[in-house]
Amino acid sequence: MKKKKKIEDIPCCGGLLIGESISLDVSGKGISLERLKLWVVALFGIFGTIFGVVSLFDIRCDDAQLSVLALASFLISSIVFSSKKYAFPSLVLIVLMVLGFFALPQDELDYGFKCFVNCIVEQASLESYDISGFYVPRKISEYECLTVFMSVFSVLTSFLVCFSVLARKSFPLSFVFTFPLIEVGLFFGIAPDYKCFAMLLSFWLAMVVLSNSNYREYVGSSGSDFVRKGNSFMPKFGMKKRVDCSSALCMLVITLAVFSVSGFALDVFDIKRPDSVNELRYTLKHDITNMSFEDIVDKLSGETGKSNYGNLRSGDLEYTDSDMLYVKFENKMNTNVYLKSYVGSVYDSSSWEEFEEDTIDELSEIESEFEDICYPQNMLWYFMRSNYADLPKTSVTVDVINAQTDFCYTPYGSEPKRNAEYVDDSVALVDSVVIGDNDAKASYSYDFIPSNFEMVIEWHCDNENNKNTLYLDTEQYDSFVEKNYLSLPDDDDLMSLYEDEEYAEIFENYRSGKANVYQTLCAIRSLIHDNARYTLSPGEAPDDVDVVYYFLKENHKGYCMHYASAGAVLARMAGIPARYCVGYVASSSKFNLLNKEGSGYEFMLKDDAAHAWAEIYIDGLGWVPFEFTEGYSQPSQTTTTTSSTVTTTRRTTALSGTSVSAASTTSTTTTAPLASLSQEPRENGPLKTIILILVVLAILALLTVIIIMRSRKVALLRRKKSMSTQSGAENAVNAYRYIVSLLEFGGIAADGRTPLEYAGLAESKCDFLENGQLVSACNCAMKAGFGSMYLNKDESEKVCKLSHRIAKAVYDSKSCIDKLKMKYIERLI
Amino acid sequence: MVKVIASYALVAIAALIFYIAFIDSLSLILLITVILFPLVLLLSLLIIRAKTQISFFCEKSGENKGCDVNFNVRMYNPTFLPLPRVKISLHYENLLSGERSQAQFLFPLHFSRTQTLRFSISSRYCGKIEAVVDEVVFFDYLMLFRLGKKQKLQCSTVILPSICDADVLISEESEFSGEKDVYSKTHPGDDASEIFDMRDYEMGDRMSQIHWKLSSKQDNLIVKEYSKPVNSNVMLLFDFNSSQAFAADVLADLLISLSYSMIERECEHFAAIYSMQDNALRFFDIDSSESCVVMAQTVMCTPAFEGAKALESYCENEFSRRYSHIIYACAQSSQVQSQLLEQLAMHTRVSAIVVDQSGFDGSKKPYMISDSAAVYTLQSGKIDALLSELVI
Repeated sequence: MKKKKKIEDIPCCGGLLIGESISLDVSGKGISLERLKLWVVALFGIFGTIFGVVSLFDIRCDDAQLSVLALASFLISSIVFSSKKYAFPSLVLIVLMVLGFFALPQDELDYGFKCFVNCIVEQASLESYDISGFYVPRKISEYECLTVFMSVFSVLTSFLVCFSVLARKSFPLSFVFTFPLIEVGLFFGIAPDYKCFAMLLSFWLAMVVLSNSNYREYVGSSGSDFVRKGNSFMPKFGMKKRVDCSSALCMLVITLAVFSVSGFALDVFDIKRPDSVNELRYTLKHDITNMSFEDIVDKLSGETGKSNYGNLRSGDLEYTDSDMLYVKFENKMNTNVYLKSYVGSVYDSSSWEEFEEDTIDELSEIESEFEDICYPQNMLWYFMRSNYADLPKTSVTVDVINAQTDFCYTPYGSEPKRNAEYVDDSVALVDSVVIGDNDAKASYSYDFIPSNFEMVIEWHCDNENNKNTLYLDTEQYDSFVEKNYLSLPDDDDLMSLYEDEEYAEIFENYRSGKANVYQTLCAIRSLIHDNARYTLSPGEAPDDVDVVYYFLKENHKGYCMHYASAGAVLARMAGIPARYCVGYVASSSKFNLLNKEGSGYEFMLKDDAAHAWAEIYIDGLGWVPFEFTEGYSQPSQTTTTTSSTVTTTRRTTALSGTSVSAASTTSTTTTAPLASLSQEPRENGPLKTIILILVVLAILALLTVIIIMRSRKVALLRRKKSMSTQSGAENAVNAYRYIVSLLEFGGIAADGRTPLEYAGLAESKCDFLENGQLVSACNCAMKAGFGSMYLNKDESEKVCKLSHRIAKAVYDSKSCIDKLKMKYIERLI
Repeated sequence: MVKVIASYALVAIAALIFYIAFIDSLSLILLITVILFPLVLLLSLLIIRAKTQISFFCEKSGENKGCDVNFNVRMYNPTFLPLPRVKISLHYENLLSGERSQAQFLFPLHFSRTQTLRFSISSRYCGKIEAVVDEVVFFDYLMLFRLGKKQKLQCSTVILPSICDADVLISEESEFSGEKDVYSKTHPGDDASEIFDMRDYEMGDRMSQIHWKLSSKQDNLIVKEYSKPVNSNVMLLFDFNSSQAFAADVLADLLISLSYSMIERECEHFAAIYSMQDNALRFFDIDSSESCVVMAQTVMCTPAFEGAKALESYCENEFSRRYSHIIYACAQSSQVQSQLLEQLAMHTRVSAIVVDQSGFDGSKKPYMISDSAAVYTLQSGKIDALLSELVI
């Protein structure tokens, strides 16, 4: 709204007054293109919004039709909104018409809207929301419906944007009309097409310029271009000589340029998001998401809650591309290597927790039954060593970059360390060695026997004779395991799974001995896979429902955390001791992309390598990992190779997870789908950078050349125009000025001489000038310039011709460099 | 300005938060854009400021009271970048009356064109009007930056005094008596009995003017300039001692009218006003209408002051000089002035004129009591009445 104020009394002394009739004259102001510039701004807003939304939600529709309709609406708007008086009523009428069109019973528009919502839901991964009301039958063509809906959207957007730009020149209005849908996408982490976003950004900034230059309007000063406020004078709202639209257009161009340069610089210099930013983002998001009143109270009271590692209600998962662990393997691995960190032993329907203190005390009492270093955590190593003595040992060094330093990331089958410390029946703490070459917070190295442990379980279960080959007396520990690793919360929902036919059958088969441990675990895995789908955004489980039950029976969606939990819980239900593990997985596919460097294979494990799996306790084997997550497990291929008839050699080859000495026999390399783990290494050699810099320089050089050529052309045209006006006197004066510039470039400086003296001097110095010729031209110019006398056409033409002749003569007399300077820098010819 | 900067800072913070929250490289591009943007704006503003040429001129050198005088600020922006807002701050003052005011103009700056901002100033009172452009401020598109260009551009015009065409009565006492003991202080003449000045010889000087004795001493030809006798020894002594603009205006009108009337009556005379710049009296030998104009030009830019400096300075330094008639005029009178006038009146004929300001500032009637001097009260707009009453 325009503010109207009365002019304040002039605070000046009564005798000396400044008149209110103030004018601004602009020379050579031809046709005003301000309106045209405003249209350009509006078009940026319209197309930026429409195609920004289309790109943001990946809407598949007829883009050409949208463009045509948007243009048509724009043309109508430019006529309708040209009159400010009728702009608002017209807009109301148009909006009512469009809404009326919406209200009409049209299947295509209706389905178009539903498809549009579905597109948003799909792109924003909002599947957990109930959108059953937006169901679109399969027979309906999504493309056509979306085209109809987006056409209406385009028309409406065009009118609204045109109203805010052409009629109101208001930034807030234009922002309100163009931003919300883009904001929806940005909120859900979807990036629009950069070009569209650049258009929108430049449009918004152009609108800021337009809004800023709207001076307040005051009453009075009707005859002037300016209005008065005290001793200040400012242009009127409708002042025709304003340059708002030109400024807005400049802003538009500058924004586009800066945005493009920023994008280009980002690409050329390969600027990446630092891990610290990703971490910060993750922490912030996590804190915000999980912020609750109880947490705040806890924090204020200084109480620390339970560890968060086993929390199963953390909702959607999002990777930040942060560097977590840097691993160096001595040999190439054929199988995934699990680096264990946290172990959850107690399941409480919403998380996996460590043992209570009483249980730990109980555990410490039975530790004596183990011989020195053969803890359940090391049984696997001894088992492998005793049964497969020919299996090669390898080593791995784990540098902790951004991962938690509370753990030591131990691979399975690792050699017991003398400095190891076993806590809570799970974590093996060893002294870390900090290595200063890659900012590692801690570093651990292990010797281990890499194996496909699923095959180990299978083989172990198939051969009853192999049980307890270590001949350890683990009776007390076994009873401890049975007591503590089979316990489950007394949750009705969870217990109802015992009643469920398909679950009950698996449990019964194991109890009755129809199925061994491995077969039971495989059956559980298949059941989980049949009931759930892998996704990183399953949504958060309700507080009052058991997480595993919700995952298996209600939500049917989840990721490794849910799969591992479900696997461990179902194994316990069947009677197999199991627990929950968290850590990182070095995928075997990583090794396929690497060549051996120096002493081994080195790579970074990002946060997307974090994983959860289950550990199963098997008598004689100890704690062995078992994979329940879809896409991670590697069962089928190996199961076929493990019959009771296979030879020890073949078994050894199949079990081996390394190709150190048997490159030709690594037929069991896992081919399980590990898309989420594999990352293409990025080659960014200096050559690419040099080429990019050269390309940039070439483009800049080309632009410079174009600008120089263009400015020369403009200068020449201007000169030509200045010497061919209607007024002969003006032509002569301009031609003489040109002559003086040429002669000065030729080395004859005026040095304060009068024009006639200068002409005489030039004649005496220049061979190409005939005697009296320049003096005569000088007289003509003086007559025209100072005397304001009429100059006939012949006289002015004579001066003009002389100027051309001098230009040619001066040009011919110069060296190549001077010629270039004369042409492109001085722009004299 | 602060509001805009604060808003932009908020946008920058928002871009930073967006960068942290949004993984796609779009957020980084946006952040870089937000950071780079002010720098680009500043650079463009610096270029525009450096390239823009500004001139300031007045269309007329003189104008009557109450008439508009046009002043022009001409700007040429040779770049391809327009600016939506440029601010010009200027002040203007009447040097005689001391009135002073200032103004600001906000307007757009066109690109590749010459534009002229034309405004007019009028004054009810005479005096030299001097306008000075103090600063030209350039604002960028978002109003984030303001770059000033300090340029002391100034131009002036003169608001002419109103000359009252009245016949003044010149008594015989004031006419030249035959004894040329009063000479011009400003112009040389032909009276060999009094030397006006000594100077180096110039081509065209007469041989008889050469001061041989002095020339031989200095080894250089020195000539004597003789004095110019004046035919009247009337002194117009004016004190522009008023804080009221109208009083200075009335005094200026009176001085010019009186002087002009006397010249028309072929009565050469002297005038003296106090110059604050020189801290001394400035004398004018008025022997023609041209010299009257010269005096008027000086008066127009002589600022008013407090006290009776002209009279005091005259009594202190020029008391020995003999004039047949001293006409003293002032805006404010005091007892000191009365005493000084009494002293003067003991040796020469003195007339005192005091401007009546009672109608303007509510002050009392002018205080001027003198037994020996004739005292007149001048009311605004009644100069002709006074002139017809005054006997010189």
